[in-house]
Amino acid sequence: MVIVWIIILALLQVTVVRDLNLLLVLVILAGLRKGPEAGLLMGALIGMLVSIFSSSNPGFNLVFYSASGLLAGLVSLQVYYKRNFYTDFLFSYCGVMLFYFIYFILTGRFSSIIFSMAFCSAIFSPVLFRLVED
Amino acid sequence: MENSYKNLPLRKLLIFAACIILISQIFSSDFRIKILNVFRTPLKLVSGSYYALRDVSNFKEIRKENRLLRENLGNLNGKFVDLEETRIENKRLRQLLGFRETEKMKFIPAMVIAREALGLGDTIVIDKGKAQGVYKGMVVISGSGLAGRVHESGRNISRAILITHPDSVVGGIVQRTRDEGAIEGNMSSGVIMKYLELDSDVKEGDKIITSGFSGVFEKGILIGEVISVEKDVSGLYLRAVVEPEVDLRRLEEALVIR
Repeated sequence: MVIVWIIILALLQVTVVRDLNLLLVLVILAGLRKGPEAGLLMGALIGMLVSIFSSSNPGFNLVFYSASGLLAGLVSLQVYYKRNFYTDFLFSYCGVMLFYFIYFILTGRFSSIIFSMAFCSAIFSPVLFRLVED
Repeated sequence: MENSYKNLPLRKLLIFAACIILISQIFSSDFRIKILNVFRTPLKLVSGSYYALRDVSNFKEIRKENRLLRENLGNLNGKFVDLEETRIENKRLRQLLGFRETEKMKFIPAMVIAREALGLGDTIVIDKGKAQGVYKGMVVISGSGLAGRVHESGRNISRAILITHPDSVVGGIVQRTRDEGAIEGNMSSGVIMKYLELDSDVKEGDKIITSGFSGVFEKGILIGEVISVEKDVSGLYLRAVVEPEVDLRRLEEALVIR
């Protein structure tokens, strides 16, 4: 079922909802809910899928998404938090911003769109979390 | 039970080897575009439905735009007659001077079915590939302006990098002054024309067209309009921020030049 969600989100992200990074939110979800190993695996799987849809250097997205999932998993182990809309939104927003910030540092590719992208992706994250978990 | 434990390291090794082979294949551009080809139909379905729904919701605006376009068409018909006369005269004069007849450009229409997965919007995926005559390096235009170039081509699908991509470089000239420069993609500003001479007279509002010097892009394709001019960091050249003629974030159809 998760594979189906990944494919649906990937198709939507590259066609209709271009200004959201729902796949990254899914990776962060996997790390937060299931731990660092699940986050790493989910990140690797989604990273490979994103590589297919992207023109970036191959392997680059795989490393980035895996690291995001792993980091989210490590945070979930170290930080005690109550699961609600606000924490889901906060972790998603911080995760997306950190992802693109490091992406900018490594590639020099900055676009002001990432601020609105992080906010909008984070807004959808609680809904996405509940849909995928169910 | 004991056998399954004995086989466990071998199974792990096989899984690990399969992962390495898969990852190394994904590193290959050809494999990547072949996998993307598999997604062609669902991508086309989702994009097509989205465009159709958007057109239905914008029906009133489309009808108004259609009426205005019909009115403009009447005015343009008159101008067309004058242009046709000029073209005939140009052809006659070129023949008199012995100029070689240039080949007319041929186009392959394509639909944009996907974009960059990271949301940065500087590459597109079109629904035409080698089977339809689209190959790597071909120029992609939309309407009257330059959009980009085909970067990877699969059987029925291709990926094109847009002129706003940081790796995109196009030779350009200022239409009015004929100053040459290099048009480079820039994530934050769109498109920048670099290496303009300090004494260049380029101004806001000037049109930028392709120079055709590299042989990659045909000459005379409109790239965009200058919106600001400033000295570059080194102080040796001018640089101009150019607004692309084509609205690249809303690109839905494209033409590939054969």
